[in-house]
Formats: sequence, C-alpha cells, structure tokens
Amino acid sequence: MFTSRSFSRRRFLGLAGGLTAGGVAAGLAGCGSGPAASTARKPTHSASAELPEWLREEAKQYKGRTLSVLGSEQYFATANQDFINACQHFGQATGNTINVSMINVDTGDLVSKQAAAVKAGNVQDLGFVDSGRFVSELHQLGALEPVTDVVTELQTRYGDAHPINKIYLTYGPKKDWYGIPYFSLVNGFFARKDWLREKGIKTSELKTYDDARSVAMELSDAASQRYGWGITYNGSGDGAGAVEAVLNAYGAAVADNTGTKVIFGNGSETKEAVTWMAETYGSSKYSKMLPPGIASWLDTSNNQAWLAGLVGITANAFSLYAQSRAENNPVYGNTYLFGGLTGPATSEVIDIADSEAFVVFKGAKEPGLAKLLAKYLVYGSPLLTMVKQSVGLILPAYEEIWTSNPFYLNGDPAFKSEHRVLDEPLPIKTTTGLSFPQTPSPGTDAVNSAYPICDMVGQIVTKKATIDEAIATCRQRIVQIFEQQGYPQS
Amino acid sequence: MSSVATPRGRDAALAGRARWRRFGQRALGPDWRLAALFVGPALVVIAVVVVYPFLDSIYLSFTQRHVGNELVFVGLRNYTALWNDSFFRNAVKNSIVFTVYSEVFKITVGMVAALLLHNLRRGRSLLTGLVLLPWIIPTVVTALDWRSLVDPLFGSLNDVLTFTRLGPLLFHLHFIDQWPATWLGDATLAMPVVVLVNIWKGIPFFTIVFLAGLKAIPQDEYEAASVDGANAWDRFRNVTLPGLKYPLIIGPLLSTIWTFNTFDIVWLMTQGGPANSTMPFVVYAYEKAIEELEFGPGAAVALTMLPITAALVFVLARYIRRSDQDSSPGAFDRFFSRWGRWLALAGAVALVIALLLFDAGLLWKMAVGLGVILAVCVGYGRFLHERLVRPAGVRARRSDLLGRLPMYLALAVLVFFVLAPMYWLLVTAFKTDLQEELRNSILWPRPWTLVQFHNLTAQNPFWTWYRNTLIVAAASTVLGVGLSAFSGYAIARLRFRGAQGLMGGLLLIYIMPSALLFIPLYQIFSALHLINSLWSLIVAYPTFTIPFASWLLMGYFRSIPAELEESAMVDGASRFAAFSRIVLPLARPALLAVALFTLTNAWNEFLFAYVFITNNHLMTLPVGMQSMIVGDILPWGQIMAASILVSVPVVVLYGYAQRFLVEGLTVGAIKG
Repeated sequence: MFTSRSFSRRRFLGLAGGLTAGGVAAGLAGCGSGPAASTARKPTHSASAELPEWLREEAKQYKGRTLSVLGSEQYFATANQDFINACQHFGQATGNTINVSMINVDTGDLVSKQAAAVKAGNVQDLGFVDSGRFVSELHQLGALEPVTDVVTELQTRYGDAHPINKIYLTYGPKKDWYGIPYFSLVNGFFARKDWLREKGIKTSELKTYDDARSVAMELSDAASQRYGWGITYNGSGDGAGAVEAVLNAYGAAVADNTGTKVIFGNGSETKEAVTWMAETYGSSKYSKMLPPGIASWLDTSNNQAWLAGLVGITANAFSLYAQSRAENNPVYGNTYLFGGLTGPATSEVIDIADSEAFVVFKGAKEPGLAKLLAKYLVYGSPLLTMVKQSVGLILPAYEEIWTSNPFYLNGDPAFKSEHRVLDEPLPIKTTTGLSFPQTPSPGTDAVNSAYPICDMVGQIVTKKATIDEAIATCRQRIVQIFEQQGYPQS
Repeated sequence: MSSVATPRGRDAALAGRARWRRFGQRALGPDWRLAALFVGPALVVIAVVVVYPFLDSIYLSFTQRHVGNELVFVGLRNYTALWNDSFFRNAVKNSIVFTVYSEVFKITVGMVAALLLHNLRRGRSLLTGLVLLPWIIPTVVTALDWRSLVDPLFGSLNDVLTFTRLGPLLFHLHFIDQWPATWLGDATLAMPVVVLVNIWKGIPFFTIVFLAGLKAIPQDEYEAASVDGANAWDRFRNVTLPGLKYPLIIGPLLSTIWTFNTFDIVWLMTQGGPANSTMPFVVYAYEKAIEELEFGPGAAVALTMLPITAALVFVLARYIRRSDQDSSPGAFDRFFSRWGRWLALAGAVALVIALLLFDAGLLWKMAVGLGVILAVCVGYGRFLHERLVRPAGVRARRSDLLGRLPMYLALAVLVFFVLAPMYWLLVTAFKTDLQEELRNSILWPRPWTLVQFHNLTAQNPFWTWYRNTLIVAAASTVLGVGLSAFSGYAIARLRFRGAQGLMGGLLLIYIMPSALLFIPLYQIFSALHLINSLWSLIVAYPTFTIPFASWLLMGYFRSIPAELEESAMVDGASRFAAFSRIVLPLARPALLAVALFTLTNAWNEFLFAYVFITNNHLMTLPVGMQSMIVGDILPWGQIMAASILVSVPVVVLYGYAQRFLVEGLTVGAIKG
C-alpha cells in the first residue's frame, strides 16, 4: 500500500516522466539542423540594400537553396555574432537559407572532423579557417576545392591581398588559390606604458628578447603584485606561438624553407633558443617576473592577469586589446603596442601577420552560392561591423578596402601600425638561411596542433629532462609527425 | 510457389518450418526468437555505435598515413614504436597513478560517507542529496569551477589556506614545494589536484552504492552478533564488510574501468599538462590520433592498454555471472575462489611497488592523507560503528547526543568538502566582472548582482541549449531504459544460447575509451546525416549506460518471483504482456534508478556533444557552456551563473528521487 508520501513522490515522478515524454515528443521535431536553427538574432535593417548590384545580379541564379557554413570562433564574442548576422542578411537578400555553425578551432580536432565529413560526403559548403594553421593540412588531405577564380576577381575589385595570403593559400606548380582571403590578423605585443614611465624606461628599449626580459625584471615587484613577464609557454595557441617566435628569432625552426624537411635541433641555434627559454621560465633568477600559474596548461588567467593590471609585458592576439577597450579597462589607456621582439638571427620581427580565409570544401553541394557569400563578406558593412566590434583583432585583407572607410585606418591608434605590418614585404630572412613565413606545410600544421615544442620547454622547466634530452625527444616527435603527414625524414 | 499452393505442399512447408523451429530451439534455446526481439535493438545500437568503430580502430592501428589520405598497412610497427616512446610510458604511468589514487580515496571516503549517512535519523535525504551534488553536476561545470577555484591569482583556495594557516603548514610539512602554491601550474601538484577533483566527483557513486549495500544487510545479523558478544569492530568486520562484498567488488571494478578511460575531466582541467604531468593514455591517444592526425599510432596507444580494461571487464563479467545462482561454478570460478585472494594481494603489492617507483614523493603524501582518514575512522571506530550500525529498535539516550558529536563533525567535514567548490561557484555567479578582476571581497559578492544571469541569457541562446539538453536527456533516457529493460529481462528470464555470456558481452562496451571511437562515429553519423542533429546524441548516449542498466535491471527482475508471470501466462497472457503488465510495474524502483542514471549521464555528457554538434543553436548545455569560452577569455561570472541554472533541476530531481535510486540499486545490484 502506498503511503501518502511515497504516493506523492511517485505521482511527481510520473508527472515528470509524462511531461518529459511530452517534451520529447514536442522537441524531437526540432532535433535536426533545420533552417531556423542558426538564426541567432534577427537582422534589423534591410539586407538587400547592402548587397552590391553586381552581387545581386549574380545571386539571381541561386534561389531557395540551402547553404551550410562553418565559421571559426574569433576571440571576441560579438564579432562571431556579427558574422552569423551577416550570413543571415545575405540569405534574406538572396532568398536562400544559410545555416551557420561556429567551431572553436583551438581544440585541435577541426582537420580530423572536416576530413571525416568530406569522406562521408556530408560536409559544409563553406568554411573560414586560420590560413597559417589549417589550410595546408586540409589541402593535403584533399578536402578543398580551388578558388583561384574568386580570388582573382576580388583582387581586381579590392586590390591585392596582403602578402601573407599568397604564401599561405597558394599551392601546386600553378600556385592555385585554395583559400579566399577574408580578413587579416596581427599578433600584438603589449607593455604597460605607465609602469615603463615610472621606471624611466623608454619604449624604444623593447627591441630584443633579452631587452624585454631585462625590462620585465625591472618592472616586477611581487610585493605590489606586479609581474613583468606574462608571455606563457604553455600548451595553447599563445604558448606555442611564443615558443616558436623565440626559436625563429634565434634562426631555428621546425622545418626547412620547403616545409618538408625537419631541421629542428640541427644547429646550435635551436639549443641557444631553448636555453634562453629554460633560463627565463626555469631559473630562480627570473622567477619574480613570472605571474603564479603561468605554466598552467590551460590559459586560465594569463590574459585575465593583463586585464587586471598585474602584468607588465605580454603577447597576444588583439582580442585582449579589444576587450580592454570594450570594458573601459584602465589598462587600455596605458597599453604600449609594439610589433614584437627580435633575436640574434634577425633584426626584423618574424611571423606577426596572419589571416583567415574562406575555403570551399570538396563535395560542397552549393559551391557557387558559397563563393558568392564569401565575396559578400570580405567587404562593405559585413566586414566593417566586425572590425568596429573587435578593435584591432579583425582587419581588412585587401589593400584598397583599407581606404574604403575612414574607420579602417583611424578608428583606433593601433590600426595604422597594424596596416603597416601587414604591408611589409615578405619573406624575412635570418642569418641561418631561413625565410619567414615558411612555405605552408601540413607537417608544421600538425606540429602546431600537438604542441611538442611547449612540452619540450615544460620538460626542461620541470627538470624532467636536460636541454639536450628535451630537444632530442622533441625532434623525435616532430619527425614522427612529419612522417605521418607523408614526408619521410630518413 | 506452386509447390506450396497444394495442401500437400503446404503441409510439407509447415513441416519444414517446424523442423527449422525445432532445430533453432535445439541450437539456440527455446526462447531464442523472443530473445532476439528483446535483445536485438540494443545489439544493433551497440553494433553501430561501438562495435564498428572499435573494429575500425583495430584496423587503423595497423596502418599509417603516408601520402595525403592514403593508408598503408604497416603491421605491428605502430605497436613496436611505443616501446621507445617515453611519452607513452609516461602516459601509462599517469593513467595508473590517476586511477589508483582516485579509486582508493573514492572507495574509502565513499564508505565513510555511506556509514555516516546510513544511520542518520534526521535529514538523511537532504544530506544524501547534498553529497550526490558533485556526481550530478556536469563535468564541464566541475572542471571550470575547480580551475577557477585553484587559480593562484584569481581563485580563492590560496586565500583560504593562507588565512587558515593550512597552506603554510602543508608547505612546512613538505606536502607542497612552495607557498603560495600554483596548483595546476605546478608539475608536481597538477596530478594531485586532478585526482582530488576526480575523487570529489566520484565519491557520490560509492556512497550511493554502499548505502544500497548497507540497506540490504538484515538488522538481525547485527543483533545476533551483539548477542554473541561482538564489539563494534567485530560487527563491522564480520557483518558489514561481508554484507558489502558484492558492492565492494562490482562498484570499484566499474569505477576503475570508467576512471582508467577518463578523458573529459583531464582534458577540461589540464589537457595533460603542465609538461605532460597529467597526461593519461586516453588523452595521449586522442592527441596522437586527432590532433597530430596519426590515426594508426593513436589507435595503437589505446589498444595497447586494452588488455588492462579487458582484464577488469573479464573479472567483472565473471563475478556477475558467479553471483548468478543458476550457474554452476566453472574452472575459472574454482581457480578464482581458490587463488583470487592471493592474486589480489599480489596485485596490490605490485601496484604499491609500481607507485613507489613512479613517484615515491606522491605515494607518501597520498599514504599520509589516507592514513589520516583511516586513523580518524579507526580512532573512534568502536564508537562510530556502535552508533552507526545500531541494532534496530534501540533508542538513543540523551548522552548519545553528545556522543554523536564526532559523527556530526565528520559529516560536517564531508559536507564542507562537497559544498565548498559549490559555494565558490555560487558567489562568483553573483559578482560583476570588475569585482572578479579587482579581487575585492573574494568570498562574498559586494554588491550582489544578477548581471551575470542577465548577460548569460541575453548574449547566449542559453534557453535553447536548455531545451536541447532536456530533449536529449529525456529521449535518450526513454530509449536507454527501454533497451536495457528488454535486455535485462531477456538475460534474467529467457532461455537462449549465449544468455550467460551476453551480460559479459555488453560489458565489453567499456573496454574502449569513447574518445577514440568518435572519428569513425563521426563518419558514420555524417553519412547518416546525423551530424548537427540531436538524434546523434539520442542514439549514442544510451549505448554507454546499457551494460550497467541491463545488469541492474536483470538483478531486479530476478528478485521478482517467476510464478507471477507464469500464472499470467497460464491465464492466457503472452510473454510480452506478462513482461509489460506484471514485471515492469513491479520493477518501478529499478527502472527509476536506471532512468536517473541514464538521465544524469545524458545531462552531463560532453565529448560526443562537443564532437557531433557545432551549430550553436543545437548545442546541449555542457557544450554551450564550453562555447562561452571565446579563445583565451573566460567569462567566469556567466559560466558560473550557467552552472547554477544547469544544476538546479537535477539537484531538485535527485533530492526527490534519490530514495528510488538507493532502492533500485539495493534490490537490483546488491541483492539481485
């Protein structure tokens, strides 16, 4: 016999079950990726008005189609939303349905997933990804369609794409384009102007890694929670970029200029660079300039520490700068921006420009419409909105777009110097014979995804290996990765 | 066709069919057709979601990708290469360290918690509900909460430990090498922190399993022991422990298999760092296969470790089968009952030696930690057990109230351990971003604000994620409970060849870490157009709960007298009618227990949702919350606000329904 208590419980659970079943029945209808699934925020102004006449003409041949788009999440939430909104505008204006998915590319599974989707014959039509990180791997896996026609047309309309794009996006003897330059990115180095002033240090003193480290030591004062050096070597995009930048500044690299032969550890320059990092992160001499937790493998607080005003010098994407401006953080006004640091092998800063590019996946069901959407997004209000939201992070990819609206060059003090960086002639040569940026290589891409160079520094700092041992192990891993990408090393 | 059209032809056809039926019954057992109907759907789902990807992984492990997409057969090269791979050796070591320490503490603290809660006269439901909290909140919430808590700059742990002087004390006692500690940034501390979080999350499972076990021990056994003059320790040793034998074997075995294959908590907390100090083999295999695109070597890493999980699954399956009263002991059972104890002892000694060789420093610290817990328990063990396992009907005296104080203290410590991270989550959700960054009033929001909740719902499709999670959790629960009920019933009642081995076969699902299945699964679901569809999750989720749920239901069904069904069938009911109208209503507690288990799993699941869903508006809560982390900027306040909203319904449900979980486990898993 039921007690009233148990009866009520069972009634409750029965009711809950019933409601759940009802919810299931109602909800299962919406389980698929229906057309409305990606509509995040309704566009508020006339979409067709923004479509250039020539685009509207071209779009006439596409009506009632469904296009699926994969976007890389940018480090600024509103910019992601703007991208989705722009796609929806385009869909409305052309009478098509655009389904947008955003993906976090830092988890390292993007290439595997896209390759699997291409193989299964059910891949998105269009995507945009980091040119330097993913395009060569995707191209090598046969996952991309050539897009030379679109790039040629866009360069005719908007001027040449910045030099970095040609290096990262063209392949084969004919140098066919496999990515459509979408927007440019610049990595930034940030220092606290006010701290430098207090110590009487001129910004011009921040030239080389050695200079910066000495300055960071001077800025550090643990008692008042000031940590001079916020650049991490941890297993993240930031960490890998920082370690690679030091290696490059010393004239070392993972692979040779062709991107097929592993040269890591070959010359004394690798050891010199690694020794520099071992000293910086592992010796007690420099420990006072490192914020606690800088070695945490997930970037919990390195950037938060900058925003909280605890760090003197750091390196990051411009998202950090944009965030400080967006929240009226006092750090914004005290930020000194500089392009980067140099080392013994070069007097120029290496590898600070990058870009995002549209790719049309092999097996795309709507390649024509996909290309049309790409053409729409690279220019005009879709781009300008994103640039305005993400101050300094997202920048035009084509030379003439910079002058199409005054905001691109004057919207923030950082813009002009970023434009200058993007226009600098490439490649940059080192005294060791290497040229940067290097030829894109699936091997290097895979190495960048797996962070063996960060592990190497970690092994040394935690005293699990000597410098020589760590370099040897790291080289062994890199060789294995390259061989798996189809580049025999023996 | 014409041959069967005549009466003679029809008779011949019928006779032929009867012959085949008899042959089928002789070969496959009298109930094989019904069994196929009952077990078939579960097997089909398992074949698609686990068996095919598993076989694909085996194939991949013998290949390497040489040029572009071309796979080349390389024999055992991927396996032999692992011998010289120091990272692989390190990953194996880490997996063992992570699993052993996690399990030892989870079992010990789970047992203490169960004993404490078992004889609590007032507020047991509430306290049990609180202790269950870590288990029922999503792993993403757990990982992010702890990451925030132990952050040396913005977390509160260092402040609390400094204020209480415990931090400096731990430093002076050489438990930590520096104070303030950098926790996840310190290669020597990261593993203990990850283990601690795993313990925190895993204690409730053991608490609930042991609570169910304690409930199943007849009180008269304690009374008889007391009459014979047994003291508290004797009663614990001779009544409680033997009474908990079944949960003490099944619980740790299941938990060990799950822990050994753990991916998400490590991935979300450290991604194996710093400097590979927390890299278990599953994450290493994932990194190789997925990030480095070395599918073959990655699969080889996972498969090399397969014998360990296979051995555990084998023992588990044998033990489950041995507990089946209908089966007679085989050669293995005789061997195991004779040598099992010695084997276990030898294994334990080998493990201790291995742990000593791996990291002697960590071993002594863990041993001291465990020793303190055990010493406290044994120290007033006599007292503790006297009170906790009191013979029924003995009323508490007034002096008891004072005497029970240590027990309440122990409970308070337990509840503090469980709730402290939840408190951090709560206060962070009610702070402004600026307050978090400036670190003013760390443990108390000043002022309290709802701005994070507002921003959470205004800037993210949070309620859409909520709706998706409800749909997936409910649908996969209905599917999981249905498939498990059919399978469990078939194994418990129907006579067909292979029934004995089927349970073991289902358990094989646990052999392969799910992190390694998802690329083949991605291809399958992609071909079926299920990517970016909640259906992919609805189909995948029940698969991993079917073995545990089928086993639990099988035990419960066996506890229901078969005569009830036989009477119904004599009265003309079909087997299916007897099952649905008699057995299922009687098994309601077990069905509810299974439903809660499946629901929790679906509510919390991260990896598959993360892989299969990229559309922001089809995400479930764990993945949606993870997507709020944009690059390296973590909106802590919004994440914590989301955590609260995610946890509330599950907490309410468990507060109400946990009694059925215990009841279902008691009969299904412990007695059954």
